[in-house]
Amino acid sequence: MTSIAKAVAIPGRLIPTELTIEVGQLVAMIGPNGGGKTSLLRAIARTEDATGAVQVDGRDLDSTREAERRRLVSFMPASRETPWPIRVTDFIALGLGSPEDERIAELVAALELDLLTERPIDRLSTGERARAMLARALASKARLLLLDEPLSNLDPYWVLRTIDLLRSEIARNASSALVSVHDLALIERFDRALLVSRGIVVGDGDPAAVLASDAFSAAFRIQPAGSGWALRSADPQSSQ
Amino acid sequence: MLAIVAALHLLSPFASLQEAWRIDPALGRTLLVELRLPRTLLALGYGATLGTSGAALQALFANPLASPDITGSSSGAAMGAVLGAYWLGIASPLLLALCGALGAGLALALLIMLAGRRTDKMRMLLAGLAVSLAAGAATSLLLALASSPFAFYDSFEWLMGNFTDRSLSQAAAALVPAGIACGLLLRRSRSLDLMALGDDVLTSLGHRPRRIAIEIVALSAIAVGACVSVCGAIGFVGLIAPVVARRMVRGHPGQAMIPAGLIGAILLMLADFASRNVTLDHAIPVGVLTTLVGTPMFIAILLSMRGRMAS
Repeated sequence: MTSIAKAVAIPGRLIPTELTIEVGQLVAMIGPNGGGKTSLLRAIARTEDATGAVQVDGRDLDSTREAERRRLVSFMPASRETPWPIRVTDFIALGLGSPEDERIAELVAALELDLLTERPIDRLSTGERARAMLARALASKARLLLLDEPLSNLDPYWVLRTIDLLRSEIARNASSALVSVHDLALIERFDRALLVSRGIVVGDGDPAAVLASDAFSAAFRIQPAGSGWALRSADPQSSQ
Repeated sequence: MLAIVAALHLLSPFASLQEAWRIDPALGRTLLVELRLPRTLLALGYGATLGTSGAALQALFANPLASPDITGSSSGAAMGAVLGAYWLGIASPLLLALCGALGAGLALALLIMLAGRRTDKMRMLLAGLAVSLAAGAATSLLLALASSPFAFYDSFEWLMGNFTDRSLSQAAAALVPAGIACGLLLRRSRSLDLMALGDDVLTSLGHRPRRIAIEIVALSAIAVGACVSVCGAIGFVGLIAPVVARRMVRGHPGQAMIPAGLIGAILLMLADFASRNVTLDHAIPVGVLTTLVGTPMFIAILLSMRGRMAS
């Protein structure tokens, strides 16, 4: 089943937006700082200030309770702050309704957290904490994963491993993932790219096509230059 | 353990109870039911209330320093009860409990206005100190300007935290609302555990953080306010019990409520037992004793937090 967002919005940050994500899709969401990536993720995750409606597996998220909601959607925020120093293994289990030791062990092994499971989560490095948070988000095998910058704070090995892990998880669980990403070099590893700027989705499609679009150049104020990027020459700020 | 401590608190000193029973069984029954039982029930129930609401407030504020005394809610409850007793002429224990709950609620609302719900520990301490000082000053002013010239004297032992000479009806006025409020707090255990994931994740799972916050603040205020209105403000039990309890539940802030309640009950009964049996020229109010013992533990928590932040 597909995940459908109908007129989701966050007043003042994201204008009403329609979005459909097919099962099995690994979708990268890119955009300039403050463009609305986090707002779109929060709106689909149904945070308190979100309006509109979201359907996953044909179920309206707003009408579901925790047990069903956990099965339908899982949200990983961008912040690596953790209010309580609970142990890593318990932190991962918070993503589940009841303890599922096998699933937790599987994710601990996949994300190489074996030596850290009994450590308080606030004693982990930022990158290790990011992996523990990803494990928590993946634990419930939700149909729609909403991941806000899961690749930030990770070293190159873990960036690539995480993308592979996401791809295998969505294939195995018949789910899909919307992932906000800052590193433009990674976009082509995704099935689809979504470009968000000024609270509006301004580009959506094949990653290479989105990167080559005028909308991309206008949103980021950069342009292709050799094997990388350069400030857009028409941008008045770039000459300062 | 709880049952043993409760039995010890109720029956000790056993010799005087046995002697009264030997002279006249009716006298022995009166001593046990009218004098000792309310005291034991209040120490047990108030301790459990402090532990449970302390754990709930610490989970809500994501802060091990958030407790009824540090957040100023105990001081606010005392202010509300003084206002009710000395200015509004309220004598009904249940209505005084309501005044205490309103005072505690006002103090917690003021704390959230000053510091916010998710605040750093230093701002929480300062805001709680400000609320406590303001409520303490208001209480003193209310007593100084009260029409009764004995208001200060009358209220001194009560404000220090005391279980002496409380009746069964007073115990019921404190413990029935406190028990209901604590029971409702326990129903939020899962939500409070999930607060460890942050408000956005909590909301994405179908919970409503704002509604939970209002519930926790209101229920804590009712529970603590009702107890303070009958027994006065007792410090540090609501701070220490949750800290110990979280070690028993692998750090889960919501699951810590039940053990924190049990630990709070045991701590306060032991403190009252000690205050009753340490005989100086005057009896030491139990609230003074908990403060004397609790202050070094509070400093130890601060030092451990400093160590954690430094590492």
